Amino acid sequence: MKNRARTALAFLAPVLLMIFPQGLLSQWKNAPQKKILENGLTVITQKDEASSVTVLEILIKGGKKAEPAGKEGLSYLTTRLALEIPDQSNAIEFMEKSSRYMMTTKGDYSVIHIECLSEFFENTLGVFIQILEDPLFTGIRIDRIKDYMNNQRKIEGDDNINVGHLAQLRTFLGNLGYGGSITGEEESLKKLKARDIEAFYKNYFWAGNMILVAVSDLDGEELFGILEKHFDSFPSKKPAESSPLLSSEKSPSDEKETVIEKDTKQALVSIAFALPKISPKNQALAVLLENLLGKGPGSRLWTLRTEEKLAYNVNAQTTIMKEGGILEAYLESDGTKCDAAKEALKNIIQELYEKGISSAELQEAKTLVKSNFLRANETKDKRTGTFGQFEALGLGFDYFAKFFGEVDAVTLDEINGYMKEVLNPEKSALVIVGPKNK
Amino acid sequence: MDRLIPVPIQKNRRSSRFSHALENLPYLIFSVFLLNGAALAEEKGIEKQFTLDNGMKVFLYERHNLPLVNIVAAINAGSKDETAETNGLVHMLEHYILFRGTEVRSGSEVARDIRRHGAYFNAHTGQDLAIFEISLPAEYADFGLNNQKELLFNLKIDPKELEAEKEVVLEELSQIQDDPFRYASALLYQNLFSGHPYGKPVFGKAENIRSLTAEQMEQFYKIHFVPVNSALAVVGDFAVKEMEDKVRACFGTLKKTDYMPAKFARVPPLPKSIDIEEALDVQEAYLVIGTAAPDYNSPDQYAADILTEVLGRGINPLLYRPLKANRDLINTAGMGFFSFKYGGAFEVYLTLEPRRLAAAKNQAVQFLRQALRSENFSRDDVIGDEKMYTYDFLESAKNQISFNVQQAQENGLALARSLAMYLLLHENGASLNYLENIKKVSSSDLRKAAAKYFSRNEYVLVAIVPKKKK
Repeated sequence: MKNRARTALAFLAPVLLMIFPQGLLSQWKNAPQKKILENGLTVITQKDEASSVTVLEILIKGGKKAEPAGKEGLSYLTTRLALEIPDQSNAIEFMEKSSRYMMTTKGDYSVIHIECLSEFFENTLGVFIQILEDPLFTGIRIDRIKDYMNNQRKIEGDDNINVGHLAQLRTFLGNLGYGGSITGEEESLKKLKARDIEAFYKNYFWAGNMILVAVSDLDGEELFGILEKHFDSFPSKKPAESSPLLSSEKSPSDEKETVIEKDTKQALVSIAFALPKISPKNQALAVLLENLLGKGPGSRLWTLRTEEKLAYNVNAQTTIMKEGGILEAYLESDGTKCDAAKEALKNIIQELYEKGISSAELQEAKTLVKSNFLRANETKDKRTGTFGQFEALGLGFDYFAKFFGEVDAVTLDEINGYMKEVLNPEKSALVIVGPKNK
Repeated sequence: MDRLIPVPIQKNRRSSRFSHALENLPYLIFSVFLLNGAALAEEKGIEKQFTLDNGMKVFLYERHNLPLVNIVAAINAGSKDETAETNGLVHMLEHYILFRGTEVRSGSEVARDIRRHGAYFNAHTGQDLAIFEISLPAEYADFGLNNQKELLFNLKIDPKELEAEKEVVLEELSQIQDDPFRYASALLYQNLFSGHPYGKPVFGKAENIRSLTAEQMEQFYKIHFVPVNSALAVVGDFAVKEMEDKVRACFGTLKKTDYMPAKFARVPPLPKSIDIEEALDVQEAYLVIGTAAPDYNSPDQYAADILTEVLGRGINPLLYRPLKANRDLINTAGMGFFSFKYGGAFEVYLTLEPRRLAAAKNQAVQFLRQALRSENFSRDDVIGDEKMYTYDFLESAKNQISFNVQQAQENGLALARSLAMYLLLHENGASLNYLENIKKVSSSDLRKAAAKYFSRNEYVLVAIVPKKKK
């Protein structure tokens, strides 16, 4: 440990002497590399010697959007079951190496996240791949994970912001399959049988449909070699015998104003808008709008806190998926102030929509967006997620390197035009979660 | 010599002041990744620790992974320094300092400057310390240093601005009371440390907040916000020598004062276990169980860190055995160990179905109080074939802590925060070699620590349960 720590720190000095290429990746010493294995698996790796830790994410395209109507929760359930440790010896192996693994499902893909000390990476992967390649979908396991999902949904439901977010997703993107909780509903889970899970696994867990992203202090070739060795046995194509899943016929909520009553002290007041389809330019525009609207002191929503005294928590949040996205602007305010909060929030958005911003405000947002991006991707686990997200959304992993350029290229006319398109009050939806207005 | 510094991060899971991130994804195992030991390795030429003539302690740590500079100032003032009448004052002061301006700039001018320089800007108040942090592009390091100096040492409280910020703080109190784990945790500390200055709620009570005056705050501020009672840690993309010159030029001009920090007694043992139940509009039950733990400088902290890993983290936390595997009483479990200057706390976090609450409480306390002290934590504790089927919790936890220490080195702001806290909380004589001390902990040490902290101590249990439907 001593030597590793010293090595990691000693490494820092020569970094300064490097001559970096232009662009964001100049901030990191090593650019990420992308290769495609013979079986079609996309592998993205980056060397980073900041710590002796390796982070691996496995993205399985499909995600929430791929769930047939009435079978919500299938993507999460399948991915979670595909990680069940089958026997005690494997559990001991994982535990003693202190390898962590987590998973979640997103709109367009599921993610399995593994992190461990690099010295244990190959060993960890060896155990893990046996589990992932040959999962057991037994009744007892399925029921246990369903119970877990039902409880997780209750925990999500105890958080007003999460409740509001799900309501907004349902309103804008329900028809695309992105609405609702990733853990489905109690009724939809009841309908899920082992055959559904097996079909989902066969339809989506094959090499050409997956992306590996690894950031590690291990040498690039060594890291790639380990990944190739363990993943080259994954089937290259969807198995012929896999039964096709039914297409998604999902109906969105057309509610423009949703009130979800909860007996909490504060009420969440949220206004959301649909975002244009993802593209390199639109991604930069969306992040800039999110930032200038509600990220931190000096943002437009900040006055709801400092001047209007309506809230402690104000925020703007984009959720971007391959076929759609939303921008939420919200605050949490005492139940007695709910009407005032709603009006104040609407006014701020209306002003932005009508008047746009100045070049100085755009410049400030650009500066903050770029430094936030650096901070958000400083650690290996976060950066691994960003590479994977960009690749899975179709922007390409190398959008990471282009991001600063895209942000810098946004003109005042473009951002003001974008706001005219997005922040149209006629196309907004309001969600309130909290106590009855007193 | 490699020097590894154990530093607790005292804030709860949601420490962000600015946003309530939508990150509560249902991960495999609910785990509260509160790093209890951040590490820093010494490398000649890239770190420097010194004290300015006015008494301010400084730690500089040069690292060039990204072009960012992280500047964290800590003041030795927390809820421990308040009276019953002024409880909540430090947190109020923290808000005022961040958002309401100085003698030179208004609050909105500060906010605008922060954005203009691409800075992340935040603060935390705890039982011991108030911490003010800024992270920004390295080219704006001068702005960051001067901003921190102006905000912390050039304050003028405007009663009108104070009244405005009180409204914001009252909203924050409401937010905490709507968050089951945060609310339970706040109640736990008030009861676990009852009778000690740590027992006052860090955020104060609404009636106290409303009655605080500008005079009270200025009086407190003038006494405590002085260089000799503060520390500064700077981590990031700079040359140490150059940064030392900047720090000396910026903060060295502050006047020295004759401040003597107050000394406090250690947290007394809890005389009797306390069981609290509060009803909120929730669907799940949330149970937090707390008991006394080693303080920041205690040699027992290493065994406590390992016990925390063993019990509540990783793929197979030991708490799952009595609570999940054997009786299916809970849905998720997590654990934290929080050390302060004059005491500490273990916290167990459980989510469960409300109908299982009573059984879970009994089972959890019974296990912690009785079974843990005789647990086989290591494969070396058993003989023969049993070795093949025994989990080596000890080895696993040591690996997990090594991982935590490694991962902590990736985050410059967290490192700076840990260092600033270390400068004010560490006592001479306490060991610094964190990982070496972790390596030395044996299974027998864990049983002794379990007996000392979990068998002999009393417990505070706080449950948040669903409100009864009308």
